[in-house]
Amino acid sequence: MYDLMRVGFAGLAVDLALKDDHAGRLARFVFGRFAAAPAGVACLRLELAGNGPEHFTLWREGSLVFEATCAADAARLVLAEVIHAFASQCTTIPLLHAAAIGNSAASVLLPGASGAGKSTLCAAMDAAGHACLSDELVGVAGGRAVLAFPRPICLKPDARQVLPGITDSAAVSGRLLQSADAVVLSPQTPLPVPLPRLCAIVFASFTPGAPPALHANTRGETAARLMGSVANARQLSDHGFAAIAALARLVPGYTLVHGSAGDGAQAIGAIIRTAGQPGAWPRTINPPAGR
Amino acid sequence: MKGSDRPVRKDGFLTQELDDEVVLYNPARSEALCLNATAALIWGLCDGETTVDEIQRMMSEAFPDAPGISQDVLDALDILQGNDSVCLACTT
Repeated sequence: MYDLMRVGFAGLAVDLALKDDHAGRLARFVFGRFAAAPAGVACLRLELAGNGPEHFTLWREGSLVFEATCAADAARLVLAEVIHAFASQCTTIPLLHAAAIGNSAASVLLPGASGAGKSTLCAAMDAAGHACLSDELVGVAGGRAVLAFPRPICLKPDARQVLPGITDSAAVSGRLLQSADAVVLSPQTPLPVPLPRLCAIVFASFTPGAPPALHANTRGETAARLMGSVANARQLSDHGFAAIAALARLVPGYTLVHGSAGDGAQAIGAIIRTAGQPGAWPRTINPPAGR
Repeated sequence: MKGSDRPVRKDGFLTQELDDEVVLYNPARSEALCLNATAALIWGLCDGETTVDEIQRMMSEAFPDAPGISQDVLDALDILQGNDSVCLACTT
């Protein structure tokens, strides 16, 4: 008799059969921040087994998906399976390769490919008291609303050097899994209920040592750049173009260049804090030459 | 590019107008391109009947205070051709 965990997102669900206590602990670490999944269409069934706290196997329909000898690697791999299932089968709304961070009043969308620094920013902002709605996948739910995919924050192996205070604190409190390939951090800031609406879309890029620079995008630029982040474009009749354009019309877009996670987090935190204040946004700091 | 070429918009693109810009999206290549107001006008003139020379003349008349507009037309057509959204050598 297995425990069964259902992970829901964007009207779909993944059923995860947990074959023992080790598997259950890992699944709670990975999916514990997801709201109780409503009855969705089950698009995938996985079986996770643990042969000790660091040795896991994942099965899909009788076939071995992976055997991992480290909990952090197992967490990343099971997340990859689940994200792929949602992104490949969601036919209703655009899902964006993006992070989203906010407080109870407002949130910011951070689109970007893997490696763009989204997760590092999320970890820094989580430590500063902002809720990480997702560091990887966000659903465009209409208007300014988003759907969160609140997985743990998946950081690069050098995260212990880049964010020493944050990762050390997480390790002490049991919120960190680590391997040679990954650092997986469970956020400390709880998700606000209901989820905050978007106040800005920020295309952030990391340039070591650069002073923080923020400038406003046109709506067209924002829409065009967002289209590059739609994870399930092939599943949508218009690749999500109309929904993305509607989002760009409603939510102002910015480009942020930052030289450190602290600077980036500070700039994004200022956007969230001042959301809705008359005259607060749009504004520009250190605009690049020629604009 | 010859002045007698009659650029024509290719089929299959989705478009969205946002303020005075037009965003073109090519589903076949999963590529989006944002056209500013000037480029959007040029793209709109690519009807397969109007020549490059005529587009330059119309844009010069529309923007008499922009001396570089003829080159802007050529640059925009280069970008549109590179994006595969306009065929420059097509004739009707």
